[in-house]
Amino acid sequence: MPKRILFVDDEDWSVEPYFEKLRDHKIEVDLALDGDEAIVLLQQTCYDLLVVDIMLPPGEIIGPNIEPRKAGEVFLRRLRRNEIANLKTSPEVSVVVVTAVTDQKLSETMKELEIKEVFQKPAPFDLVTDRFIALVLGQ
Amino acid sequence: MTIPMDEIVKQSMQYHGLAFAKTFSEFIAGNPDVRAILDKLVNDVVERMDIQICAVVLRDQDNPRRLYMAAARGLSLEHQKAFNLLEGQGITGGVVATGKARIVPNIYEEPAYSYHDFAFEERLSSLASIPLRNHQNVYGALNAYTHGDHFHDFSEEEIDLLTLLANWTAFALHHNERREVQAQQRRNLIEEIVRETQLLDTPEATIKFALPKAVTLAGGDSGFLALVDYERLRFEPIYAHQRKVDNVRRLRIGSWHEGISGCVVRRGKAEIVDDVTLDPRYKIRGDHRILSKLLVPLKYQERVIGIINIDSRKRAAFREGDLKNLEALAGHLALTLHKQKLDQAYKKLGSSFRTIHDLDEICSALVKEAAAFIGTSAVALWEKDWEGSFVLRACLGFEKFKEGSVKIPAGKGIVAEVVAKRDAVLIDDVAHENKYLYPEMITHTNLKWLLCLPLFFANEVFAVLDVYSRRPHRFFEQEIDYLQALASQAGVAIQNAKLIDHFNRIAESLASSKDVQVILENIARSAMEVLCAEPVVLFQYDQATKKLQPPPIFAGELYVREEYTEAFVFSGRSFAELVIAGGESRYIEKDIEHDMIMQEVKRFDHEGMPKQRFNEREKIQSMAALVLRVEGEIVGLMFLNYRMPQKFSGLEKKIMETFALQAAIAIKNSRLIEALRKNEAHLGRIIEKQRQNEAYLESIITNVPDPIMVTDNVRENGKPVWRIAIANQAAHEIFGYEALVGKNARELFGEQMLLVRKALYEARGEISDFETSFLHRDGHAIPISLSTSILERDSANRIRKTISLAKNLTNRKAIEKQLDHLNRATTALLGMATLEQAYEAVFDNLRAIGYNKGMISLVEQERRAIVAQRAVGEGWIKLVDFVKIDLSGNNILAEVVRSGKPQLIEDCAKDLRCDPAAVRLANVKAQYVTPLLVQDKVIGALQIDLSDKQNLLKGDKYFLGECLEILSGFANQIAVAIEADRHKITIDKLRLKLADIGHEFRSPLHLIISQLGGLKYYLDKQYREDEFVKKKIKIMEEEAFRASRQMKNLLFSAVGAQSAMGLNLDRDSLSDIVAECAERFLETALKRGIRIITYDSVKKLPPMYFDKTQMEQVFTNLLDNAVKYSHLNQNIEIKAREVGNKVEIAIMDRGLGIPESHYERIFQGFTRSEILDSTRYIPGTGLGLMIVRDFVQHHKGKIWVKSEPFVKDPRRIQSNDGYETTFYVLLPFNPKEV
Repeated sequence: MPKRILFVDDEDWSVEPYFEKLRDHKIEVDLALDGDEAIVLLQQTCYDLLVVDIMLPPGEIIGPNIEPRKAGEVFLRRLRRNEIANLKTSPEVSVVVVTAVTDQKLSETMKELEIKEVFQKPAPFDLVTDRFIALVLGQ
Repeated sequence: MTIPMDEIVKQSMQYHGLAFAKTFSEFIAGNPDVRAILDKLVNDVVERMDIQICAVVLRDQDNPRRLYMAAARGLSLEHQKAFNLLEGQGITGGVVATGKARIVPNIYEEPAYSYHDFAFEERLSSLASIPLRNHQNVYGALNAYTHGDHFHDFSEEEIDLLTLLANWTAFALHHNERREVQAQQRRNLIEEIVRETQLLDTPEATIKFALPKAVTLAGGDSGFLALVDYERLRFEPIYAHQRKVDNVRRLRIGSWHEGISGCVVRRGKAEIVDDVTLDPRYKIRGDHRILSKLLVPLKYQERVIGIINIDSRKRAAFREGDLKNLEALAGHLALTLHKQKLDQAYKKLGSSFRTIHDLDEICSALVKEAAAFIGTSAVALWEKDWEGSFVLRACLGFEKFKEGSVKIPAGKGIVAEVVAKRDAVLIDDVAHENKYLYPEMITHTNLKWLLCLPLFFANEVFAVLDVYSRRPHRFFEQEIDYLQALASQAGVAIQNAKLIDHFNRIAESLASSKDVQVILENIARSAMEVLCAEPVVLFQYDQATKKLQPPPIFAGELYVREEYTEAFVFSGRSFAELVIAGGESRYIEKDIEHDMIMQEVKRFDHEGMPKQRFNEREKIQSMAALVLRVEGEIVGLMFLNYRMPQKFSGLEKKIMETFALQAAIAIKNSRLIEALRKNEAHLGRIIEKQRQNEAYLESIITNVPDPIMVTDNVRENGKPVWRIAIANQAAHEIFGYEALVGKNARELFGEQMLLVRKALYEARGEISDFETSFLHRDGHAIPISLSTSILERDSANRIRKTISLAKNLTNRKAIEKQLDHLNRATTALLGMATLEQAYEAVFDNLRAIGYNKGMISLVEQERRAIVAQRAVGEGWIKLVDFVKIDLSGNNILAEVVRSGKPQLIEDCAKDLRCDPAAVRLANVKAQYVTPLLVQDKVIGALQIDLSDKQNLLKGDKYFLGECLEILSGFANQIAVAIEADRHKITIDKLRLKLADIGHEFRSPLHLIISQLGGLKYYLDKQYREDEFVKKKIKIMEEEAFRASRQMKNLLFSAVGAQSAMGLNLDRDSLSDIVAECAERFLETALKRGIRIITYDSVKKLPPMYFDKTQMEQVFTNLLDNAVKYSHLNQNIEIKAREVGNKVEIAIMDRGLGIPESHYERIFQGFTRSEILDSTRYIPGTGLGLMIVRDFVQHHKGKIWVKSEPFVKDPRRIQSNDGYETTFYVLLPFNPKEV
């Protein structure tokens, strides 16, 4: 079974350039543009890696009242707490955060949510893609 | 038968008897000796009478009864010898026994005759034996024999004549016997004189004994003995017998014609003057008591040293025959006197200089002593100086010499001969001696002899003693020997005195002079004078720095003259330094140039640089270099230089060493004194301080509000009891006693006493802040904090005395409680969401510590008025709604806001600043008004009602102050809470805004970079070789990152500037941050062959307080720069060290470097180092270091840079050798504490 990565980012153009390289490594890639989409995809498919931007349009499921800069965090917290029903993907799935948000408390939160890695945007292309590949293929 | 007279005469004449008798008597009157008389007798009898044989028989002297034949004529010698009769035996024996003559006509018929055989053989016939009789004495017999066949009938005339002759002979024998007795007596007298004088010590005693005897011997009436004083040309009477000495003294021996004594002295022969009145030489007229004189010279070794003069009142009283005896006596006396004089002199010699210690006195004593011994008045002492010349030291009789400084140059005069011979030199007729240098000095002195004696010191002639004499004869050997002994003795004394003198001077200067230079100069001078060295040079040496200390201390004219003082340079290889390095004193007697060390020095001389050494220039022949050493430490060096070759004796070396030791001690002392003085000054300060402290202590003890007690620990009934010895007023007050002194501490401490003692032992004699309790007199316990120290222990280490300072903790406890609540309030405030909650928390805690009423008012934004916000307590709540006070007014609130100082109003009713209406409404009597301060800005005031706190107000002012301060603390907390509340919104908003801005920028940048990454990846796949495209993409990528960094820094600086106050300080490990940052750059660095080395000192940094984000940025920026500006294949080093309560971190790279003119500018933003690498492009914003500095400053830290060439050899610096650039970051462990 091929390995799968789910990108959760509202700016599809910023992640799309990674896809070709990842696919060349026989990794299948999906993209969710907000929290709702992400949850749906997680319920349909088993992913090996989630690449999430903290600043997200929250979507209906996470809640329209949640600020965008907290949406990613809320989404991940729910995932980790197994508050999302019918998931195909394990709640303990590996997660990498690629974000432009700079918050002093971010690193603490990321530790709490057992995030594998946080890349600050803008992140170098090769650095990021190589890390994804390594995490998924276990190299 | 009677013969008529005329008949006898006739017969006598007939027989020529009368003539015969006459000539015989005349012969006897001529005083011949016995033998001559006897011979004459027997011869005359045989020749002149008709008698053929004649013999004289005499008594044996030893045995008077035995008779022997003393003389004979006509008788064989055999028979003469055979004659042996005793008195009464035979004819002759009978005649001698009876004294009567016997005539034997026929001896053969005479039975009494003893020698018939003998008579027959000699053909004897008749005998007439006539006794030799004088008075009753019969001396013997005169035997007259006839010879032949016929018998002779002796006629009366014949018998008478024989009797006459026998009587004459008897008389002569008698006379002779008397003379012999007299001669014997004289011989005995002389023997006695000789014997006795040998037992006498002094010439005076000898003469006193001998002279009367000599006078007796000569048969004179008076006499005197005088010695000749050749120097003064007169007699020196020693003793007179029966005469006046003074008269003798007048005698002179000026010329031949002046006096008989002078004549005798000159001729050296004894003389008898029978009648002085007839002698033209005799000058003393009118003294008729003396008529005849006998003069005998006293001669010793053929030289006349004096005379014996014996006088008589009789004319011609002295006989030539006596002269022999007197001459013998005189010879003996001369010898004795001479010997005794020497003996006396030698005896004195031993003690001559023993008691004199003054140098001048010794010299003049020597001169005087020598003069007295010889009797001369011309003696001079010359002493050698450093040049070898001899200088007059002391003299007698040369007043002219004294006036000018007379010198005998080295190698000149008779002195030179003495120095060369090392022995005395005797000059005859000094006035005509060519070598003599100062003949004019002695022209009119008649000085004849000069004896020049050497004085030795350490085997060297250091002085010469000149003894002149007018005497006509040589000095006696014994005299020279004595003078030499005297001179030697004086030499020793002089040197001893010199040494003592110098050592005393040195000791004096050691004791009195504080300046070591002066002391050393004295030592050098003394060494110079005692050891005749010139110059003497002394150096101090510092063993710690191993350096000789110029300028040298010196002694000697030469030194000053030639200005050598300035000329000493120590190259490290100079002779002096090498001697010190050797550590051994050196004595170089000759060939200095060939000395081992000098050779060594020469080896180090630079070639082509001829160096004239001191010894060469000054022609130094000998030298001693003494290492000054004391207690094993080398403190200096002393040089003794000589222009003449020396032979250093053991004594000289010892003296040198003594000087060296003294100098060493002086130097050491001076150093010790210096150290001591420093200490003294220090000690003085300490003592002064101590005194002040004591005064302070006294006033402290009495004035300190806390109780102080000193206890004496005594043993009573075998148990230790601590009794209070001293207690101040406060101690009395706290315990409620009137007199504490003498009380047992146990009464005050109760059981706590044991704990205190235990604690004291455990804490090794000092406990502080030991919390315990006292018992008040009324029984209640007072909590105290006790600090106790042991003041004194006894020999068994038991505590003898302690001092205790107690602190009443009653108030402290209250304060602690209040502080506790203040803290609680503070903690509570931190969690408060709203201001109302904060107010509530503050008032809750105030209530807990007894303050039930109060009010908070805040200044309006326009700062025109202050408005009440919140109040607690009955009455005060009513005020809240209408208190709004104009800040320009007189109201207490307005004043507190204006001044920013709290106010305590003890009586509100009387204080005009309080609004009476408000006072009434709140029913407040006393209140405390304290400002709410935020950064010196008053934002409001807190009022606390103290109406029910009268005890506090009237009580301990210190305690009241502390309580009020705590209330102000509450006010501050409120202020902080209010301020925080006000700012909270702004800060949060700002942060969010910035974060949003950041996000807004970053997202598109990320997009660009991602797209570029994708594009590159695609191109890579498609057009692997297209370097052009790849390069373009790379540039775009880098620029995008640059934009990102620039923006990040901008944001940081914006947020940072705002959030200086809001530093997020956490205790964390800075080394972790550094390590993380370093790791982030590892890869980038490695690409350029750069290794980042983090030293252990960084890893060992203790945890400290800092803002993690900011510090991350600091080190990221610094390392970013380091990697960017480093050359290829160089290392970046990160080090750290603790500096007090700060940490210094240094990041060093080796690369382009920063010119010093840019050190400051690079931190100001938008500035990049001008020295750019022409071979590559270095991206950068110029903002990084500005951010770094801002952040470091937020942490109350410092940052600076240093850049210097990293190859130290200036010749090797090339354009791309580069610079070592180090950024230093200094951060406090806790910025809040700074």
